[in-house]
Amino acid sequence: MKLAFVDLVFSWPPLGGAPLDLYQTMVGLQQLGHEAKLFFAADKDNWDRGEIPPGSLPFESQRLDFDLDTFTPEHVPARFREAVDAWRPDVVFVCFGFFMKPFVTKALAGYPLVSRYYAYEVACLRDYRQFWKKKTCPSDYVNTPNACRRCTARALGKDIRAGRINSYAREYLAAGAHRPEYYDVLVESVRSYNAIIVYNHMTKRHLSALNANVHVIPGGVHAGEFAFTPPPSRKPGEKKIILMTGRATDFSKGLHIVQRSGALLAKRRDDFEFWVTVEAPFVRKAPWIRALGWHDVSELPAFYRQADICVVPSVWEEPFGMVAVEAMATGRPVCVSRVGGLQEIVTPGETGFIYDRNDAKALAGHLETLLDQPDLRARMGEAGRRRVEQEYDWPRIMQKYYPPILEGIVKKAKTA
Amino acid sequence: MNNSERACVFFSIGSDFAKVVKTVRARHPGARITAMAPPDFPMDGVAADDVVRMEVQRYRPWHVARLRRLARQLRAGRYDRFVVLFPSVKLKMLASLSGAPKCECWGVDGRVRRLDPGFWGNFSGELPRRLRGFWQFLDVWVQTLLRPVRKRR
Repeated sequence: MKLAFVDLVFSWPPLGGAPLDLYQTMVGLQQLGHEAKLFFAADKDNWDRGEIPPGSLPFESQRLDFDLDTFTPEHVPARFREAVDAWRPDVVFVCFGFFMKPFVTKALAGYPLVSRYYAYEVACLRDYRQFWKKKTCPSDYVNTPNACRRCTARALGKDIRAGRINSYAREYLAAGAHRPEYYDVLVESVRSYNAIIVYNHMTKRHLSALNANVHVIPGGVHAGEFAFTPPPSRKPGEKKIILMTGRATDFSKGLHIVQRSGALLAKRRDDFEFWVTVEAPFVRKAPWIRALGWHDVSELPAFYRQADICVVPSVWEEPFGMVAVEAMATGRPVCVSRVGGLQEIVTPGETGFIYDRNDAKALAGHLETLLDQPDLRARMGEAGRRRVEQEYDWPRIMQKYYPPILEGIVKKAKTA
Repeated sequence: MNNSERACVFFSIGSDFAKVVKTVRARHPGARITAMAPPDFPMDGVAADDVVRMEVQRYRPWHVARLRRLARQLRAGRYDRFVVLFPSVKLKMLASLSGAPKCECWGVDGRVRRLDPGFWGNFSGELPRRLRGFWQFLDVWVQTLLRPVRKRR
């Protein structure tokens, strides 16, 4: 089958989870025998978009160049349509894009379309996170469009007024996302997809109101790249390591919860140390916390191997939670908060623990249980590894989820 | 950059500053790296050889004398490369004042973009940019407040 992938924000090496997911999906589909080609936008005025060193992608790709004047709802969809038409694919995947994605979707309407949403793109125009004033935002663009438009205008307005426009704000203006007409374009585009792929059931529930064909496909890792390592054997008196990886400087990642639970634990014991992948100024000065500094993804497996327990304390509705999967792949028990896709990764009591978001006391309780029981840590680590091999290994994900979706779409298209 | 070269990395709030200094160090292990930061900026984790402190936390356009001293401070460093983290107009103008032959904007992931070093080019582009921004800002609020979305069932 010929599969075209259209992405408006792709760049490589990846700047986030979305390009990485797209890359793995395309590689996986090629391994399943499909022909895959990426059509991506490049913008000479914006280095986030379309920066790909030649020869760095293991699949066919076509770059479509735009600039300030041509990155518009008239030019972008027409150029993508023209490029996709020339290749004649069986199915088109419309992947990541900011405000221009609905217009591109409309232009490609003649093809069976699959959309990939990576966060809360339809619900939150402000930043796709539905996280506002340190809480999950109760509004969403589909149901409360005017409140969300005001929120977005407030968030982006300051930079727009100062003329400091980043790619997101520029696309917001270019696509006219501040205008009421954009609502219909977005909603219609969501309705038009033959299938929608999301990371978690919360997003599925939200989008199901507009489209019945929403599928949850988790992200994954290559289990082979994260070698299972038995828990480190500690000498008496040696401190056990509780690891938090990820962009901990971002409030939504919950470093403050880790620090609160650490303070609670420190009142009762001193046989632990938190390791956090963040620079020293961002963590409180305490003997039980150590700032590891920022580290590249390739350096993380070494930290997972040294750790006894891993925590993912996110306070926003994390769409997935790759770091939890990575920790489980290495064979570490994981304590995660009850949010978004994160809660779907961990089987509570079997591969780790789930606690209510912001509940530092509950997290401290779970950590204490794990610190006291080396056998439980080892058992949960092994169970976590098994779960990753069964559910989150890329080849397994590709085989399990994609063939039925593609077959269904093609069958439906033929009938139509 | 060879080993005898000097680079100055201009600060940015947040952890990206330390990351970029680390990336510059990784790519040019022998270069002498100077980090330029405000008086109270925490430098823990910033792997620079020297730290040059600025006079004040924040410079304003009317701080003419202070800005002149900052430019002099930068020129005195005789840097071969001046690195900023954002390609903003202010930083581009500062880069052009630094006198460094190579002015660059470095991304956290190590991507490097050459900066247009022209001071007057950047300066004269600022006013139209602000005017356009003001009209766009006005349009955003007019549309948002006066033209609500009316949902169709």
